[in-house]
Amino acid sequence: MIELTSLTKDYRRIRAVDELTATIEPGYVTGFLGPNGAGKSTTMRMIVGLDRPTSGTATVLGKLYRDLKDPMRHVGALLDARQLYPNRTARAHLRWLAATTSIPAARIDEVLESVGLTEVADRPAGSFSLGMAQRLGIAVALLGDPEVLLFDEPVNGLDPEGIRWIRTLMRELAAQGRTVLVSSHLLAEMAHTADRLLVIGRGRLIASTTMTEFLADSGIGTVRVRSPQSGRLAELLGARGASVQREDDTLLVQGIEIEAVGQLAAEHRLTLHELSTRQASLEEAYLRMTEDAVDYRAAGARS
Amino acid sequence: MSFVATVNAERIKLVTTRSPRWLVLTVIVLSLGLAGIQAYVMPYSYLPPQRAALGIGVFGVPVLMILSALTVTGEYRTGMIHSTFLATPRRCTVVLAKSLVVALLCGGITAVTTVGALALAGALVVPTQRAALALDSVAVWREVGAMTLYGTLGSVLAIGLGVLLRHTAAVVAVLVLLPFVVEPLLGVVPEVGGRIGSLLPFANAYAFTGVQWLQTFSLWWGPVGAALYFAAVVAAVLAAALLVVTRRDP
Repeated sequence: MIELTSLTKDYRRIRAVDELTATIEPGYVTGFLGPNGAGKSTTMRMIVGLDRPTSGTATVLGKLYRDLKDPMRHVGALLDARQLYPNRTARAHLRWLAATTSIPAARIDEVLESVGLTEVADRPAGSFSLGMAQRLGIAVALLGDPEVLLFDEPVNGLDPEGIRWIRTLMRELAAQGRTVLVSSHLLAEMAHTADRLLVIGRGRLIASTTMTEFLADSGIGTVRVRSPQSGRLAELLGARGASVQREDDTLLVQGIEIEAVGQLAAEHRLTLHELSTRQASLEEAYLRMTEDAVDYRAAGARS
Repeated sequence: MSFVATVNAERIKLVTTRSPRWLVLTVIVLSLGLAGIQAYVMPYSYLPPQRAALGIGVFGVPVLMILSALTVTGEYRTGMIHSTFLATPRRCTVVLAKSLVVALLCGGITAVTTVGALALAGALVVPTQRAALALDSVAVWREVGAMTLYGTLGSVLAIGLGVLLRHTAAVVAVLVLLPFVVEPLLGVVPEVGGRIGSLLPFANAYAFTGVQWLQTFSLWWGPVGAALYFAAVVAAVLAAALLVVTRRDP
């Protein structure tokens, strides 16, 4: 459980985080979304006490991070994979971290194994690729078996296999009842991972919603059909309860699966020139949402 | 994140990279080397322990100070300081643990190297000059003690400067330019030199360690006063570092 209360951070003349209030619940993967520079990293740094808020508070498990006894046993954070000394081996890096919290040495082998770095554990961490460094950062976060996990852009530099691995990992961690907060500037990345969304733009909270609601609002289920008999197809789809938008021979259909549209067309021997889902709509909805926030700010500044 | 656990973590950091080992080796070679050369080239001359230990005062301890500073500035340069503060969010605990670890290491190295340097010099001078460097003389142990104190305090000073300045180059500039350039220059400026010369921190360090280096000032507070003065400067820098590290975002 993470609670943000009117959290604000000013950097000289720029307000990076602006009166952010939100609660991040345990048992879910919460996606923390926003364009680059929206204040995601700053917020995460304030949660773990690296940055001092200008005003407001961020608490973890009801306490300020610095008041937690053995914080690594409660909170695991991957903020920047390269926050290590390049000449020290991965294992030695985990060793000193474990020592700060009296974590037994056996746990080091465990986390190395779970992130797949056992074989390279005795190589200097500076020789690691970004993907390997990212895995080491995750090993650090998992070291204390914490109930709250923060990941700042965790899939950066990971290969597709690594991306799938971290998605599964985050889902597992949430399923175990832990609080998982994952930031990203790409919504598509979150679509299959996050249960809940916290969207910010220019430091302000834009939306706090569930992924299901967000998808319903965004029109992600839109199916695009092109057919010379589009009029007839629109009637049939309408009869099935789908909502249809028609432009010449193109239909934008919502509320029905793409398979069902194909099936329907085949049953009625209708020719189709195109049948696709609109991939971009998710990003579009997100951009629309964040742009609104920017407009709102600009309007607010003028008045 | 008890203090003991933090100290242990800092100890692990120090032994899991190679650069501290090389720097310690440099200290030993330079310190013993300078003692050995002095005794070897003039074996018939009187060689007081302060002169035999010159290499420790002007080379050894400065290198140990750089080693100490690197334990802080290296973390700032690589961003590892974030990992450190995540593990131990009470930042004063981190600074104090680092200070304790380098103080013990540098104090220990200085003590052992000084004893080694004096013993080496004693073995190389002719028997008639050996009494001044004998390990049963009070003057020898007074010098070992003074050097050890200098090494210990100097390493803590370096930690404090490291936290305040964060950049290796800046700290090295202060630690090298201050004793070897700034203080000697200020000391020879007419009027100014006489008035503030005795207030310069390294002038005091050289006074209580008895190192004859470039110049010496007459200090009415004597060697014990000079040691206390240097310790006060170190304490002030460390206090400033503790204050700043808590307030500043890393």
